[in-house]
Amino acid sequence: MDLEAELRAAMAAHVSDVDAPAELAAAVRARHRRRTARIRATVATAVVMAAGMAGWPAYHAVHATPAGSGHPLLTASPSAGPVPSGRSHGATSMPVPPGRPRTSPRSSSAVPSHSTGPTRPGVSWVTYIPGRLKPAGACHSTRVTGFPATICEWTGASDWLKIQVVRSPALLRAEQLGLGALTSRPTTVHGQPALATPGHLAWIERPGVGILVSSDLPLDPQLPKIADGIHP
Amino acid sequence: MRRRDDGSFVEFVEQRGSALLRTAQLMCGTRQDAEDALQTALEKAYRHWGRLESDVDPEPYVRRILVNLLISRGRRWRILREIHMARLPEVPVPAAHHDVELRGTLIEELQLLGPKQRAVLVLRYWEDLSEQETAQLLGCSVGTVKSQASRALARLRSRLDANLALQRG
Repeated sequence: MDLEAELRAAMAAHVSDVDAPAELAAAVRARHRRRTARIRATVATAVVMAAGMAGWPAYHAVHATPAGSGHPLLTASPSAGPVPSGRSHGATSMPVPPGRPRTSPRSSSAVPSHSTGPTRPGVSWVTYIPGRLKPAGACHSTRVTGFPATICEWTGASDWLKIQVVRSPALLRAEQLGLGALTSRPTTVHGQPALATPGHLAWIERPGVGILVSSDLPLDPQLPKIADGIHP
Repeated sequence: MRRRDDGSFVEFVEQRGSALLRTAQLMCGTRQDAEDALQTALEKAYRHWGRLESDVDPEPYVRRILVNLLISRGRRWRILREIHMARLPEVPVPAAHHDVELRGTLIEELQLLGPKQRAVLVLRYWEDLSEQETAQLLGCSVGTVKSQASRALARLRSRLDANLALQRG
């Protein structure tokens, strides 16, 4: 038996009725268009994702700080880093006595016009402070429950008020600010869960930024209003 | 130097599509797989069609893409088959009907060969390419083509003999 000849004949018989479809070229071109579109979509998605990933740190750097570049608190904050010499006025201007003109136009614009009570013009992220209280020196940095914090204090004839802004990426719950969950009652500030005890109000303004407001007992009824006016 | 345009691609597919499809079917066995492989190969060729010179026959280029694609797929499918099959039948079983035609048996046995051996036989005995041309198309030496063809034919012969003996006995 001539195997090669038989193989040729078998192959010829096997594919004798095979013809390419008439629309083969169109199908190939359609497949090519689909492939091109798929590649373009993939590249576009990758570019958008890369741009987003590259832009996120810049966006975060601009928006994650509680008080913006013109705020005095930013320059006093331990997480704010070095301050350019042109803006160093903020480090020495915390709480400014009422009535004293501002030196920073950005700070003055940061005070909301809807404020109803007396305000602290020098600390623009605090929009309400009872009028009888005066700043007790400049804000200073310290640690609260192990986290870096900035503390600003006000005193009156018989009252005192302390606002502590605590920053840490690990800060996620109000309980971390030192108020016991069992002894405090839950409430809300700016729509965020908060804990309140007599003379204290603590909440997480946003992940990584917590606020603890403390006062003596006569001021306690005003704490929610003071807290409501804090916008770090 | 003129380059090929879109119209020449359509013309080429109309003229040589059937021949390429037959080669593909002999190499992969089923009509659906052959059409899919041919479309894939033609699409790959279409990507670079504009770079081909108009006075050069594009068929060897397309055929080379097709054959390499089918060998790659054959190897992949063979691996998948080996994974999925618990064990291979070790003893040849006679066909239900003893009047199996020799040519049908040859085609069946051809599909049982390895992808490269099958490609060598198809190119040598269907496409009527010389050993030199086959070696060039497959990217191997002439010696490899000779040895692959020899082994494939020997394997076909032995299987065919066993099959015929079973039919007789």
